Amino acid sequence: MKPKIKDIEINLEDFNSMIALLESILAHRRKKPTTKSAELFYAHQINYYKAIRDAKKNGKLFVLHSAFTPVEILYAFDVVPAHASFLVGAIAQLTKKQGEYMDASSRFGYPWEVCQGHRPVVGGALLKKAPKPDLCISTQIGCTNAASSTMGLARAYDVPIHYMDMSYGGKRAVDFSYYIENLRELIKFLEEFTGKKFDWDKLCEVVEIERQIAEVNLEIMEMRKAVPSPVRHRGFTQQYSVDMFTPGIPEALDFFKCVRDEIKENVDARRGPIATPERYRVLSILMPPNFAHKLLDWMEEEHGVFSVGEPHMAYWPPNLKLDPNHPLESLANKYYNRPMLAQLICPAIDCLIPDTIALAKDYKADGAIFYANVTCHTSPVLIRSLKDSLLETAGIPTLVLDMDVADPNYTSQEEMQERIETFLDIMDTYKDKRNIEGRI
Amino acid sequence: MVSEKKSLETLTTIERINQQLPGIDEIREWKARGGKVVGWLCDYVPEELIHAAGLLPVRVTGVPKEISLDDANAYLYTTTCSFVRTVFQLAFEKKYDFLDGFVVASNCDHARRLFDVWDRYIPTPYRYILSVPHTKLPQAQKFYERELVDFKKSLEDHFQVSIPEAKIAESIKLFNQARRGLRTLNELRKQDAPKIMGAEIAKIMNACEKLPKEQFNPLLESILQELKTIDRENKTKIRIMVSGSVLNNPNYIEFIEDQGCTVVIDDLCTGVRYWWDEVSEEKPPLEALSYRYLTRFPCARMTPGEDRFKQVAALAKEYRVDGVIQEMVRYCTPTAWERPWLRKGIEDEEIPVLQLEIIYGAAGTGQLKIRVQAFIEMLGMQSEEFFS
Repeated sequence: MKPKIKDIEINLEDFNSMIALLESILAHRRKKPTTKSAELFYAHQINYYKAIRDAKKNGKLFVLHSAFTPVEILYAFDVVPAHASFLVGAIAQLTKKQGEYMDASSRFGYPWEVCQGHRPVVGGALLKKAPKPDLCISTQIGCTNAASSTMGLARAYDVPIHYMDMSYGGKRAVDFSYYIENLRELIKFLEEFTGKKFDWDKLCEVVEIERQIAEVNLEIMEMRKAVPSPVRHRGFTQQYSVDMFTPGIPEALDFFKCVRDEIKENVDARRGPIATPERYRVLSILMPPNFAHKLLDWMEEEHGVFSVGEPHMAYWPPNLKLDPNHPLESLANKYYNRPMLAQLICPAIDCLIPDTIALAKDYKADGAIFYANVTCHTSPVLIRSLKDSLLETAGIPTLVLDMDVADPNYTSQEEMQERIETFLDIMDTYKDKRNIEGRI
Repeated sequence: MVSEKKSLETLTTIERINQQLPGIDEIREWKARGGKVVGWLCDYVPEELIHAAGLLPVRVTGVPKEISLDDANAYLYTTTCSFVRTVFQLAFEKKYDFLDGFVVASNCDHARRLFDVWDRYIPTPYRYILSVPHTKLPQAQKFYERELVDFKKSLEDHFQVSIPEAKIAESIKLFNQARRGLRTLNELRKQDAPKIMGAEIAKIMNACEKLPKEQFNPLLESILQELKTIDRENKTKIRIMVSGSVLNNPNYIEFIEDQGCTVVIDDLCTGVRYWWDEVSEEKPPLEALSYRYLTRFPCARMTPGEDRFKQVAALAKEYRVDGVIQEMVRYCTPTAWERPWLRKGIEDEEIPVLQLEIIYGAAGTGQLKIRVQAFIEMLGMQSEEFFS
């Protein structure tokens, strides 16, 4: 008898609970406001998930995609896109069912070593607790985990999948032209799949908005050089999500403009975002754990530690140029240069290392914190290379926090706090050393 | 097991090579004659181009045993693939100092980052990374062909040589000869009682990937000749396929076969994926290389994965295997993501699968022995001897 994946009814209880939870968080934010951008962020998340929930009702196709898929193309087809690992990861995390989703993946045969950030995706599909898409798109980029989890979900749900390839190498003309060929292939596939003609005007509109988003982010990058840091420590996680989920939509542009305006207010007033004065400026390398964003709050509130640069998450390079008259070329330019993909898609010596050194110098960092997700195979491997480079060129130390991005049992928030506290003294020592050497 | 008294005389050189890895006498002799050596990692690097440049292409691998990875863990990460860490460890210990160049294909996250870290800390004079598409579509083949043009130019510029098409064509013929010889060798394993064991094949592959093909091809021919005439009895009945990625420790295969089976075929980067497809000798050389290397017997990184599942299952049936041992090198990401589905594809053909994880370079351990023994026993109970 041929083994088949069990065909059980889809249960969206967890998904709906997640939306309800986000709505309660937003209600709380409105009752006890912090910043306008925080409200907009939660509203954005809720709208995103509701669009997925209501796709069928609204007569739209629901397309699940892996990280760094050009969502702009999907908007031009008027489908509802969803980022696979963020969607299912958020369902699992916010409903505190990470364990259940991970266990399902493990029982199916996925070992622990596949990225914990992506393992819940297939678990959610096997449990039939993730919304079932009409189509999956897996973009083959410099992260096997991101591409593969979407493939696994498509198989578990037995839905069609399109593979979009990206070359490794960086920002060569040949990479851009190959990418454009693959974009055309994607458009052709979607025309056949949806039965609709591609709306080039819509794509140009989306790219124009994304161009504005990129410009706003470049303004934000420039303002973040200010001392004291004008941004809350966890701000970069929200900014990363908004552009990753919904590039080129008016709601995203409004969010970034709001963030920019809040930052500008602080820069003009020469103040930080909270009452605690700035004592340390750090780079945040890779991604902090999903379960411990409060760690970031603790750093800034208790110790005045602010993140001033995030090479994987909020680094918008100046050569990111978008032109709505050349939409496909613009997407090529964007996707090879945007965070985090820019750091995965080419040799470290061409991107991650020089970008991180530039951030350290331009943003006057005192140290770096490397969030070393033990199941990530693209970045912690570069810890030594980055540590050595930062010390040699910028004279700053790096703290490595070995952790599991989704599992607090590996390293708890309290353990990380202890290590960060020890690191503060180390940053002081290196700062004194740079002072003596005349590097500050 | 094959009669222990009858070892193959023609394997003497092969045995010596396996003892000397990674640097072998033939490489030393080549260097002593003024030759240059370029190491390559991953089957997506076209050796023919390196050979056509007058250089010796040598696969960068570990050694046939598990080694301590203290330095590798400090320079890479403890959850980096154990194969990549082993290779880096050996390089750090200067066991690969004979390399004049090191070429990596962008086949997986670990290999790409090995290149980055090697680039920074190991002073190999020439270092190059090839971008390899994940699909076989026409635009992917065209892209890969452009990559090969750039790679060729890079070799010419660094090593101050010229690589005309005629030379590439000659190299293709030479390497195809090796592939044909290996196919002939592997065809012999279809016999009911193969005269050659999987562990011996693994040793031959280790030698193949280090020796100049000009020396390997006649050596392989002598092995084939000896196999035609030697009287070797193989009493095992259970036929096994080993599926996975890189596997350079023949002792691991031997350990499996010691439990009462013969490994008759594999689905490995260091096995069937190396020799299965020839390069066309009719097309322009770079186009032919691009086509062959991109469309060959696929590994776990290629999409759609279903093509590979079908091909592996078909190969298992062709070799009438009773069971498949899926080995996964610890922290190998492509294998980890694809293996539940590959398992399903093989079990769809009613072939049982045993899944094992190993640290690269390790042989068998007590725990593994119990699991393999139980698997072989289970297969024995299901064999045709008892069922029609």
